[in-house]
Amino acid sequence: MFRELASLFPIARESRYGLLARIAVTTSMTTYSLLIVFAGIKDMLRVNAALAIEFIVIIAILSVDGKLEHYLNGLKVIFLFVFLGALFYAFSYLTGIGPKSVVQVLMGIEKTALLIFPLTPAATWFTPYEVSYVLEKIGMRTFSLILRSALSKLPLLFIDISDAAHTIKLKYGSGKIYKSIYYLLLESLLLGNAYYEAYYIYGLPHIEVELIKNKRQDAYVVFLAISTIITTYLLIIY
Amino acid sequence: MNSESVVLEVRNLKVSYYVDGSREKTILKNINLSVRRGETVLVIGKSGSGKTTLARSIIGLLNKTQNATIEGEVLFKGKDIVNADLPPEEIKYVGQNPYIYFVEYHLKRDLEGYAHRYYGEKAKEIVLEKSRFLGLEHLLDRFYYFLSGGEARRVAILKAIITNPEVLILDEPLMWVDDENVLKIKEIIRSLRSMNVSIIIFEHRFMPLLDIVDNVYLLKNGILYRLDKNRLSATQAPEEQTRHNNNAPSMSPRKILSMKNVVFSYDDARVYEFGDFELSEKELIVLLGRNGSGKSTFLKLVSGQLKPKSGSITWHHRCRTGYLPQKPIAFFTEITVMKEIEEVCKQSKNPGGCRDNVEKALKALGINDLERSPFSLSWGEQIRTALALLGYSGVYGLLLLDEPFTGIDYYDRYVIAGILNNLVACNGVSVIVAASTMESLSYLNPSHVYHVNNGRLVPSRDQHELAYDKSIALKIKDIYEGAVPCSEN
Repeated sequence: MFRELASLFPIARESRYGLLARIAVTTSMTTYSLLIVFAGIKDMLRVNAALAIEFIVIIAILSVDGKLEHYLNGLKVIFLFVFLGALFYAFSYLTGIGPKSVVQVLMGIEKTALLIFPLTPAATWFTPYEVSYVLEKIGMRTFSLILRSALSKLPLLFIDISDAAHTIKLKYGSGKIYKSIYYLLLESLLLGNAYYEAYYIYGLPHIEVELIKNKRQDAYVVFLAISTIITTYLLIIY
Repeated sequence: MNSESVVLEVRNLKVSYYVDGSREKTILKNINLSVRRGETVLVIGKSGSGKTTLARSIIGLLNKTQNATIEGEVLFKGKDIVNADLPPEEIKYVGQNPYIYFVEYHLKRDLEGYAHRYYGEKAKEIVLEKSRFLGLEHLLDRFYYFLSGGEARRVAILKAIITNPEVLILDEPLMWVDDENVLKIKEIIRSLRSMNVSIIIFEHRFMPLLDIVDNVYLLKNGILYRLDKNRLSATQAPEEQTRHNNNAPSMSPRKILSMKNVVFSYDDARVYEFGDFELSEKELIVLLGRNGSGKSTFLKLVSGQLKPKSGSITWHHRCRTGYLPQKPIAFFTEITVMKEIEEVCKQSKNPGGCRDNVEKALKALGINDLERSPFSLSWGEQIRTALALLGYSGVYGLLLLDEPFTGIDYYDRYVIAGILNNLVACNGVSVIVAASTMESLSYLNPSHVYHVNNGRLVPSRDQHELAYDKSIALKIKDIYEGAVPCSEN
């Protein structure tokens, strides 16, 4: 399982859109979600429509970018959050400390989904490399450095965990996988040391991202996303 | 030697570690070494003799990453570099684990990002040029952790030569490398020699390198001795021994498991059609294949970690399976070897007998201090300890060993092969060994050899293809453990 986790890392492969376009689309989608959630809409139908439009825009953009499969995989995690949110609302409703009706419960769940939906494309769309770049550009160099160091050796650690778990399961049986803890602690320290070694000899590679890839294509996706959600927002509000 | 041409000089180097907080342990006593421009030097020595310590001292890593005291000088073009803040760009080091040198997942991005610091806008061009020079351009679009050991090693060397270093230090460049990749790494070393790069190689598995090095040194008892290269080459005819099937049972052996038409795939792109396979009691099976050919996948199918996509695996006689991974350190869980013995023997029907057998085996294998942490043992000692626990405890009936001959010297291989031959012949254990090089297997006495070729299991037609020759191992043992071999450098 952990080996498969390691293989999930390159999910954020090259996008056809430049970094600025992707930031603009993600930011506008998130802003849209926040505006809808905090607009105090009482009509269930309107919230449904807002959620549906958001979902369609995300699906459309990501499928054009060849990222749909990864996004849908990522949605599994989102649904876990939505499910937890649903449990929370249901619990509040049943204990009488939260929403007064089932409609309100459903609306709460939908608003949670509305807030979380735009975050998944962010995970699918941006590489840790690009996140480091953005952090560095906004003056958070130390945080960028920590992120790069932590992420760079994570796939190796997952592979180590997978091998250790398999070895210990065969050595003692499946109930004692926790016994690999000494090895894993040691391996984490060694990987930390190894990172320092690589840093000492080679330093950190220069980060270069493509802010704009194809001017027309980038502008088109930003325009499409923003105009659709502004129109939807206005239609829903009024 | 023309002193003008000396690029790197190690003078009276002494390295000590602090162990247990205060006790000082001297690893290198008085090392002297001169390396000329374009010279290729090979340093050999037993596991734990201090080869990696010497390599890391030269580059200045040791006193920055470990609690070590360094005395003496390491001069690069006459300038002391031991205490420099950063190593000179003209000296590069590729350590035992090649995967650690990549920060970005995507290799091209990592290499171009590194090259950018020196070449600016020309970085892409330089990376392409260097990768073409080493024949590695086809790997640039891969993610570093998906590379095989041999591929990762070659790309790490590529990263090291981007800045045109004058000295390149390679620590165990042939570790985890299959026979085909050994040839490719040798080709790279030859190319670098042609560019007048001075190369220092620290290697256990040095036989394939003897024809491309200029001088050989032995690191022994903390001192470096120059060796006559011819002493290591096979000058005498190998000691031919009749391969006796010492595990041939007197009556027909009990079948343990059989596989029928087994197919496995991680994804549609990588399909392993292993086909049919049978394993009986007291059999030693060798799986021989290149890095990434599917050997480890096969072991995982046998152990039940992976399930076949189609076909069947039938256990005729269920027995506990023990597994030794490529990194033997991952086998250990306790803080002392003694506690390891106790934990493993708790699972035995006769814990007392189990403890006695394992302790006896460990003593015979040179592991005397049972209160030592298994994590502080050398690579070879870890393999021997793990094999004693797996083989002599009586808990496991089938041992799956993933590359047990890598990272150890020729004599250690001989000892480990002896343990395996003995376990099968005398203790009734069955063993499957996965190996990527023929060279490692010359001391084994297998019941069957299978070639694993792109996920296909092909039984070897020639049972005698693994030359049963122990002369090299004994020669190495003599050099490592015998009298001081040659002049101190």
